[in-house]
Amino acid sequence: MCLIVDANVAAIVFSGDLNGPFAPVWLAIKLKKAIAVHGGKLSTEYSKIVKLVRILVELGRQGSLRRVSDDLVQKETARFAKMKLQSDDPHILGLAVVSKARLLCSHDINLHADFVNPALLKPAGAVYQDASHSHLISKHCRHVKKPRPRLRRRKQRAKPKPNRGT
Amino acid sequence: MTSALDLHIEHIRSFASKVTAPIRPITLLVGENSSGKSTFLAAAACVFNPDASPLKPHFNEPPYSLGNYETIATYKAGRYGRDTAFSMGFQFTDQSASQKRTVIMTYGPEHGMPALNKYEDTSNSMKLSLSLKDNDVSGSLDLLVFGSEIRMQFDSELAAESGRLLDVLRNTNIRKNPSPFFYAVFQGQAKSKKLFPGPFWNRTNLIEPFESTFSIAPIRTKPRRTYDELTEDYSPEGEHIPSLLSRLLGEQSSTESSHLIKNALVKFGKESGLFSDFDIKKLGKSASSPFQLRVKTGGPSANLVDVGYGVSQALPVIVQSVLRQRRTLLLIQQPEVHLHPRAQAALGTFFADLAAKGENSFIIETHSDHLVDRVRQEVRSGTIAADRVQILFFHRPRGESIVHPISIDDEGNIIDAPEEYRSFFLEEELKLFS
Repeated sequence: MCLIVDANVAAIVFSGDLNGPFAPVWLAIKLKKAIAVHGGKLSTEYSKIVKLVRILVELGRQGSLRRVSDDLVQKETARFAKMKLQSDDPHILGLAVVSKARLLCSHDINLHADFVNPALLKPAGAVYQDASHSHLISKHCRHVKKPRPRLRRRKQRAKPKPNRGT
Repeated sequence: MTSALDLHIEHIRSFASKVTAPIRPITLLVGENSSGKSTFLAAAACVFNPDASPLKPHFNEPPYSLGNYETIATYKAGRYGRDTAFSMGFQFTDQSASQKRTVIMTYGPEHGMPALNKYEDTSNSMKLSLSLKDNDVSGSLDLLVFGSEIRMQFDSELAAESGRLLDVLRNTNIRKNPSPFFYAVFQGQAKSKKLFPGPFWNRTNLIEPFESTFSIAPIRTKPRRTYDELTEDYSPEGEHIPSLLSRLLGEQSSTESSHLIKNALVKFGKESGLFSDFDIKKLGKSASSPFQLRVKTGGPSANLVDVGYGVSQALPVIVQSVLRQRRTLLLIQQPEVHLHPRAQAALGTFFADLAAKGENSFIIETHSDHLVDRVRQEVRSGTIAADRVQILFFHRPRGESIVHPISIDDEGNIIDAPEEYRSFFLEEELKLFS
């Protein structure tokens, strides 16, 4: 599991837009080269984006979107809620701890600061904001099992060259 | 889990390469049409039926019809032609009993039909490798007897000496009880008689993954207003189910099986929304009197033919699955046919409940997302352990069937799905979305 898509960008990321700033993230999720995670309050926020629900369910069926234990996320969220945070999103930090995801897609600048703060998350997370950050996907999703290679085609025998000039 | 089971098939129809697929208490076969799911089921029915001798496999026992050698062995176009042999088998590890057994059966053509060419059976105490060619039997046998390893070779000369090796093989289910064959081998070697006293022949403790298998066809028998021909002979279409229900749920019947089936039917009926009660109406006093199957769907009881077709199609699946039989494998093709999504989802709960108890196992070929989703939900809610469920995704790139095992984790998430898995469905959702 490698990335968290905050509710404020979920409609952009999961809409299948291939030209926007989150297109590399969407492509990676679609091709199962990245796995997005949700759980706890983020799951509740997702369920409120009615127009996205069917796509999110389908991503779950594909294995590109995984749910982590609500109980564990809530426990970690409660721990972060007691700390001094710049954002009001302790549930995202809680989810990061439980899922070990360290890449975040979000428009919330305060959450960016918390997510990359090594005092809160160890190792510290990274934030994806536009296509220039696409290298972060391969860095943080390196552990995602790559699909099995396709069958190799049998090697074609080289055709004999036409005999010319005899 | 205390046991692990794999099914092997190679060179069977579109399975041109060797396929090793894990089988769990619930194994869901998913994939497009003509991707190899039914062939896989047919092979599983042959391999996991211990009563079918390797010499006489049930390739064409209903509901399967694999045909003759030409239609079973993989055909590769061009100079590669048809494969000269195909094989199937299993590897079963029972960790609780510290036992392991691997059986591989290889078949070649004989008068257009598949005939056993080679049989390999390896377990903790035995390793048998047997070849059959032109009515000649040869091979080797390693036995661990009373802590000592004994190795024997046998061939046509020994067969001639013993005079009846092939006959014994033909009349023996060598997989289930190889003792008569072993005895015939040892008879040909006089010295061995002293080594293996009588009681040894009862010591071949060979484990089998299942004691029996039942297949349920994708189209079940049509309901009738009145049943007057009684038959309890098993049929994949479920023709035996009405008579069975009449006997078990009859007025005087109150056996454990009758309670079990009644409870399962009513529970499934309520959860699926199909019916709230189920009963039998006898049209006479004798046991052989005609009878009617009646269901309650809110108002008074109605005849089975007067309610939705899905009820009669679900009955064989429910009843055959619940029948208490130890270590039975049920191979079910599309249990969801004619059922509303609510009932399809209820089937997921039904199978998860039964498989969690560990009595029966199910290999289910399905196109129902609702069924698969409900099984995932049951894993998440703890009804069934994640390692008791396996999804096998079939697809056929470039004409060759490939099986991808997909696991489910404790949260019901799909793990290790290949890129092709459900890509069509996502595209469809996106088209609706944009």
